[in-house]
Amino acid sequence: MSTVFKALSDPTRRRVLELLKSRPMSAGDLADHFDVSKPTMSAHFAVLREAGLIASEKQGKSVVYELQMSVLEDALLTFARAFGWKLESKETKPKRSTREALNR
Amino acid sequence: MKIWKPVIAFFCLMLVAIALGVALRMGLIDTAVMRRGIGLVIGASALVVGNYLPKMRPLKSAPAERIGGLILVAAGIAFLTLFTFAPLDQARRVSSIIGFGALFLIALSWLWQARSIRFRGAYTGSRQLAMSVLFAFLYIFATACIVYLFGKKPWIEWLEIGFWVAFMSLFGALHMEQKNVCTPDGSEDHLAT
Repeated sequence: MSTVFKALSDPTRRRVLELLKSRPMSAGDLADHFDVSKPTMSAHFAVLREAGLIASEKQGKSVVYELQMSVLEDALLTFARAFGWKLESKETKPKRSTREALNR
Repeated sequence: MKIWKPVIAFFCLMLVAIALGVALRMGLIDTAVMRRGIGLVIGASALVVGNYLPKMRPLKSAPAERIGGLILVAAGIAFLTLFTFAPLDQARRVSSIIGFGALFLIALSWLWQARSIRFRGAYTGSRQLAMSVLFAFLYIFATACIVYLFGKKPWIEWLEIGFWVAFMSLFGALHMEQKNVCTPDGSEDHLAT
């Protein structure tokens, strides 16, 4: 259970889980939502995988991640959101908004 | 690893149910205690299976498993509350209605998500085990709800037969799909959807 709490303690990882709630996504698609390097994202994926919150499946050349949270873990994530643990952080700002800000 | 926790928990709960039956026959407990105990075991089973359903991945559809899991957890909590605090007759009647409601909602949500449920894909040993546990639980849960509402009637046996026919048909269909998905050398074709 400590690995689950560790995984949920980071806003980037919580944001990854929120994104995966809508649909399974490839590592590249997920990384596009964050302003962090690919090795850092890989480390985040590894923590989530180790906690058993996501599962990965190799499809061709890309790795697709899918949510694999128990109902309790899902409730913990909802509580984290409800009690104001912000999902947005410096890392989690979408790249698109950064680009738009730079263009202004 | 992720599949063993719910499987072991489910079988332990079934052992508790058997132990309650044995204790009743030996005269260690009376019928009321046994019935209350069985209700609690079914509630705990719903809680365990519902909680781990999205992790066991029997249907390979995250939304279907998440909704099903949530409904079963809610039903499990209701069963546990009723069989702990309510008078036995009321607990049996109300829990059966809640149980039927839960099964109906699960069936409805799975029909709604039918397109996303993948019967193809890796039909591995762990998925077979997950499917078996899910069906075993649904069988016990549905039978308990019927018995709680109608009492022990002869036609319940026919329902049980129908349930097992559906179970075998689904397993047969899954094996057929698996054969279609596998390439001639036996390896799994991940691109076939």
